[in-house]
Amino acid sequence: MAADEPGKRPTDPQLSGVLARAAAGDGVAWHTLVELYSHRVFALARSRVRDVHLAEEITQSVFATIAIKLGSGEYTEQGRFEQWLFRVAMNRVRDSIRRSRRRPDHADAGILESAAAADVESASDAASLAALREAVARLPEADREVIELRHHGGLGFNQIAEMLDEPLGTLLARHHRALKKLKAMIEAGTASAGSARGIPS
Amino acid sequence: MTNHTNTTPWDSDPSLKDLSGSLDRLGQAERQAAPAGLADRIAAATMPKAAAAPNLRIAGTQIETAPATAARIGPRIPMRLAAAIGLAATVGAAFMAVRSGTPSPDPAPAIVAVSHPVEDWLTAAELWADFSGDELSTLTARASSLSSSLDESWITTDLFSEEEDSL
Repeated sequence: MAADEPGKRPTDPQLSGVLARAAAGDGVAWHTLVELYSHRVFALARSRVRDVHLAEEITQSVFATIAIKLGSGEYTEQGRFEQWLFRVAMNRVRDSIRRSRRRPDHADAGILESAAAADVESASDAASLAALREAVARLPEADREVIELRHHGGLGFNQIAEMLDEPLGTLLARHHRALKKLKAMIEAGTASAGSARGIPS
Repeated sequence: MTNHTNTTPWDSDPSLKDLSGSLDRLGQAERQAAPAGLADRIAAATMPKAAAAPNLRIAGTQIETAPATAARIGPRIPMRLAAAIGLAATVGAAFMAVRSGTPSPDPAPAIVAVSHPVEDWLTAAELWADFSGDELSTLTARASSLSSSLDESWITTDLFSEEEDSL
């Protein structure tokens, strides 16, 4: 069961049951939990650090923390597990960036492979995604955070608003502004490159 | 393929809607770029920590709690206490041995009393000198590997926990 498959997201009662069993030391439940969320956390991390191995390290670190906090009773299940998980993930990513002080400034060839793996058939689509990725990387931090939580982490707006402690309306406006900035960047980029290849304009 | 449970009022804006769709595809590509066996490796690496501390509080219920950190910190305290008592006893015995010799008009017993620990130490030093180079290098290698494994353990567990308040 992977959470990024449509219709496979656990309901709150299902998730609560998995959490309780995992916290009690049930290895199968813990594996289920990791399987449900590890790819989403990985995607969020990789979008920032742009290194597969580092993204995996961050993902593992996130789940190590979750395991400890679950077991020690520091987490109280109130139907907000995803918000908590991604808050931990964002903190880890920020820690990692602070340590490395690396900002991505080059296209990652891996994205082309992964785009192909994602059933994106044409090379132009893959190139579009690579360009889009570059544009996301140039967004201001606040805009990028919302975009990545929404589209890479797969969180709903309500969850992001709760996680960032903002009213839903404010969060929606932030997302809208981020999309418009992104669109302007892409249009400026494609105009200067003299070629538009499938990116919405 | 998205995970979203809610949509935006401007999803009707064709250009932004297309862009949002492209971002969804980008997010999907990132998720599918995860190395094979990612979940298996992570679950295996973090499983003992979950199993070692089996409790979860669910809102409205209370299950007894055994903090995971207690197991790690607990055993160290008696060992440190025992080491401190042992050290104090050794120093006290040496002090008493020296002191018991001072009233004596003959300094020889005091010298003898002091010389015993010194001889013991010299014997221990000779034993240590008998260690071959290979044994020393083996010990050094073991100490290094233990140190690095301890470092890794800290990196993956406690160092980053300052900001993550539970919900």
